[in-house]
Amino acid sequence: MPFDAAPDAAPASLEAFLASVERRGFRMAELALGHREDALDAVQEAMIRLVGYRDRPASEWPPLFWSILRRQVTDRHRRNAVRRKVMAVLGRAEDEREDPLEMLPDPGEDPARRHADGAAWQALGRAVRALPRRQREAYLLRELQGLDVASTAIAMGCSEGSVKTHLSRAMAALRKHLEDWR
Amino acid sequence: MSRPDNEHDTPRALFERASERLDQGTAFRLRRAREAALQARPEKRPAWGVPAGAFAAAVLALGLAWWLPGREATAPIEPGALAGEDIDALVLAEDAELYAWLAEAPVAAPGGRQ
Repeated sequence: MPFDAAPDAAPASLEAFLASVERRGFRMAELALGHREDALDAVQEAMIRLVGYRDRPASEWPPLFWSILRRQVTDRHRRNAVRRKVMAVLGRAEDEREDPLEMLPDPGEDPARRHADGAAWQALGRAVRALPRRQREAYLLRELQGLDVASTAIAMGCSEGSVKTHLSRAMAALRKHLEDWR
Repeated sequence: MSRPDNEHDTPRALFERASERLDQGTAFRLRRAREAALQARPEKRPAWGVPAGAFAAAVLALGLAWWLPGREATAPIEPGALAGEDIDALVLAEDAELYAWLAEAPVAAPGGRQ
């Protein structure tokens, strides 16, 4: 079941808000895009654009940020799809992807655990990226990011009923993979 | 999918752990990005700041409207009738549709069919 991990209290400042979401935003973009540099770019662009709304009430920042980031991810996802097709036509290999273990470094952690986390993270990313776009967005925002249904609906630009439908289908599609975590 | 050490682990727990334990390099870049975003001033696009592509498209459209025969009844388009934001929106909409189409369009493999 999804949970509601989104903080209820309004952030004290825009900087505090950005600091509280930048890591989770990066991880979400990374899962969706499968590319660390693209994910960093998407988060940076989302932060820049959110600053344009700094005069809005602080309570509006979270859905705005996730909505902006979602669009950034969608744009990059499409550009990457086009780039892959162009590269395929040109007969060139796709860009080198980073080592998933490098994406989850924690020097003080048990190497075996780190290896397992890296492999699990890579597999989760593959499964998420295989979902249709709207299902992927619903899963990332509601299930992993922990937004409530209303905030997810705002971020996705759809109704709460649509969020539930997309999430239900995403969970069904991922069930095979998720069983390994139960 | 690989099973983590902790049998009660979930994608959500993995996501939380990944977000909390970010490598120092990425965390540093995110912090820098945040600082840069906060220092950036919202861009105020000048009225003449229409992208070159949009400007060329507008000129072409105006030229065709003037040149094509049988269009005398059509009211001439004033150059100022399209605001910069309108042109931008048109171009962005075209881009989005183009990207969506390109992303889903089949691509012929080199030396073979489809």
